[in-house]
Amino acid sequence: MAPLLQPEFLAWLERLRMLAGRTPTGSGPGENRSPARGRSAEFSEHRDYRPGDDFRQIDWRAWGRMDRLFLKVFVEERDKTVSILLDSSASMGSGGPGSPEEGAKFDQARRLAAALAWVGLGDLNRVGLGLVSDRLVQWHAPVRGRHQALELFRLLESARPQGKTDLTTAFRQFAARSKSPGLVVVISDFLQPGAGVDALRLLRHRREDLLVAQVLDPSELDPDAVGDLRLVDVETGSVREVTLDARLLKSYRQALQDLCDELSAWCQAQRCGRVLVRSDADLQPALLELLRRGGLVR
Amino acid sequence: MSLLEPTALAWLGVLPVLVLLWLTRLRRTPARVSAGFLWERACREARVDSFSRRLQANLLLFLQILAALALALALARPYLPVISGSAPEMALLIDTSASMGARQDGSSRLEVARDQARRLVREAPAGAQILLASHDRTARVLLPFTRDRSAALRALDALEVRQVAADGRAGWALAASLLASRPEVEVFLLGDQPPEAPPPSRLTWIECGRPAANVGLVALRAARDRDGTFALVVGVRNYGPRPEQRELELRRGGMLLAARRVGLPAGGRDTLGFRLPASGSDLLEARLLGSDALAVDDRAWTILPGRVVHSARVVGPRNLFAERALAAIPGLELTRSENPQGAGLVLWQGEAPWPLPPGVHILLRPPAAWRRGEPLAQAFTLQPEQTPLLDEVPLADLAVAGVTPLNLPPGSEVLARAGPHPALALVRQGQATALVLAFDLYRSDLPLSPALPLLFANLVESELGGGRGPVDSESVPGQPLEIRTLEPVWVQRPDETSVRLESEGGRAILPDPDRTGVYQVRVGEKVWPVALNMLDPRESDLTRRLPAPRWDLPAPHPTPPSQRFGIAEFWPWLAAAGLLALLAEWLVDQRRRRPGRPQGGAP
Repeated sequence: MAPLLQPEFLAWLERLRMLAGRTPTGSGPGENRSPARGRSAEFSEHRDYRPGDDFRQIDWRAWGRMDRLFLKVFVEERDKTVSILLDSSASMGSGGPGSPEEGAKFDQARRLAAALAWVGLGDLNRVGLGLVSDRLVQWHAPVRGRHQALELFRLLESARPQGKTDLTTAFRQFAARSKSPGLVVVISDFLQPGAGVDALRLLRHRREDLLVAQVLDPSELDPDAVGDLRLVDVETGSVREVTLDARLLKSYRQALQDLCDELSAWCQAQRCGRVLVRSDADLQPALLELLRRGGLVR
Repeated sequence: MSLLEPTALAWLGVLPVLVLLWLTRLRRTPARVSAGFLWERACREARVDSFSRRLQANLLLFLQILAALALALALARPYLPVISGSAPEMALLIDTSASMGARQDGSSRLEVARDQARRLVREAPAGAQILLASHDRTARVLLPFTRDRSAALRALDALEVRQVAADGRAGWALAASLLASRPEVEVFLLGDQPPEAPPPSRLTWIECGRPAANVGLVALRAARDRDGTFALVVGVRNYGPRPEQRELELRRGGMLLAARRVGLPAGGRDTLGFRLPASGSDLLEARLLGSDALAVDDRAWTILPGRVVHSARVVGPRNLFAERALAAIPGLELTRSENPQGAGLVLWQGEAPWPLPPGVHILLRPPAAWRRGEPLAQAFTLQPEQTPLLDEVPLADLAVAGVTPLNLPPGSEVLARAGPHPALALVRQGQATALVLAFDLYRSDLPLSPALPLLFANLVESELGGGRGPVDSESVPGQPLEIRTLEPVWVQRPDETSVRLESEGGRAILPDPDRTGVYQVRVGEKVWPVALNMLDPRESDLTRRLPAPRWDLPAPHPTPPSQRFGIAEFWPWLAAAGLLALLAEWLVDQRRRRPGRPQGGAP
């Protein structure tokens, strides 16, 4: 796998930082906007005065012009805990049959995690990072400040895809270690029966805000190998001898589509952002889409 | 269904090889996948384990097997018997006698005939049935009527010249038989001896080769004298239109004994005499050096006779000419007596009894039972027939008088005629054989020529034999070689191949010796050489024409020809099916091998 901290990658993250805005939820003040309205320097909107409102918040200038009492509402800025859970099971290191580049998927997932962490730390949020497979393999408790990014990057760089996938167990372990709900970004291929929806449901019950990034390799999305193959599942080791032809490939694509649709439908129902990231695609649009859906950019 | 080339089915042996190669290729390439459960589901939904899917997966193997099967069957040339109503028929009768080996302009007459026959086969109308036969001393059908042209061409390729004298009647007889029995057959006779008369309709004569000059040996005879030495006579003849000079070599046991230059006028012959010492090998070879159109008559062999004594008895009044002629024959002890009992040969100079006692007889006066008139005063010129008994006997143009008209008994052979009357005849009855002279010896030219002693010598040799044991020392090619023995026999041919013969009824027979040269006949521990020579003017004369054959053909068939059975080959369809299967296999393979995509070991 390619090293994560390439100068080009860091420069790209910096550009991304310029694009990113703010949005809050957290126990302390931060750079993120919070849905909670409060006192701060940042004006949010006007609303009609209702009895019991703080007189100090009345916009007297508007009263002078319009002869109506309006209340100035400000965004209360608070810090936010962003938990990034990266799937490091063996399936993340592999692709479909005939995949030309082993590990491309995991590289893309790591870059995505790194970018999210960088953006999150840049907004004075607290960012935690976890590696999951059939358990919570490693957990870096939330940290704040850009200077902490290097630690997270090192963790990502040392990560290797291995082990089976059991997101339910892993998320349960994460929930036990996470102190307060926040934004949880799950980066995985979700290639498991049920598309990991049960595991996501567990997080959702904890009132976590969820962002789902499904990373897939082109050889998984559109395999085009043909002929006689012995397919070996990288996680279970099970073997299936097949003769790949158009009909079988079509069945496979349909099965994958059904899996993705299941994940997508759940996310839509739960108002969770879901982004499909191809391992061979440019990361920037997918990342911006993810940040936008997570409210991490303006 | 039957097969014309069943050995080609050996190609089916490629089928196990194909399957083996297929199994080898089925070692599938491992590929790591991240979601095996998705592939399992896809396989279930695509029903990859169903029979039809398995068949589809093995489509290439199926097509390869189909192609191999069809092509192997096509090579085996299967056919179905069919009934054909009016298929044209063509019979090719090719002369394979010794003269067809004559070479002109670099190719033999047989090669010319073969080319002509090939042309006829190729140009035969579609569906034509072809018969191929050869003829020399006898006629043989080599390939019965068939539509298989390639079989006909192969049979033509296998034709060889046999060093056998032709009997022109054999080919003509087969042609006549075919014309008579098959109303639609077209017969082609290919040979080098054209008939004098034009052939009838539906028979075409194709002459192969042009008349050519040739010099050949026509006689090689040896006789043992009383002193043990040998008198050898060699006859050489020039059949060409120009005078020729050739070297003649004599070899005894392979050692050069004598050489002589022979000058021959156009169409002329020369007889050379040699005296050979008593000692030495008994195998003598005469060889004409130089080359001419026909090589087979440039060499001849003879086996020098051992010392044999036969007793001869003269009965009746004396006839000085006949007695002197007998006395000149070596190995013959002549006595006078009125009792013929116990003699191998009896010379009857007066009235002979009838029936004759067993043995060989010379009758200078025919028995009264055969005579049908008084001797004629008129003089006649003798007209000899071609018969081995008259070999080297110069009877032609000799005059005879006092010819008694005869009614010869059945089984008699006329050797020479005086006008319409038999003048010389060989009569066989029971165990008696008689040479009959129907003219007055004193009123003929015979005593003045060597014809009489030579005639008597031929009679003695042919009827009493050389006393050589189980086999005659000389024979002619094509004539079955008879060995009188009760034991198994090994015969070594001139080309040094050997054959074992079993004795049946006191004889072992080599049925068709078709090469000139010396055959070694081994009976027990003893070996008897036999010389087979082509001393036949019918073969050596490369300008000869056959006398007009008699064509006793029946009237044309009044009704349409009945249905005949033929064969219908369908190998082209099988070959086409095989090639189509190969093409389909290639297309499927190309379709599966989409360029630029990784291959998983698929064929």
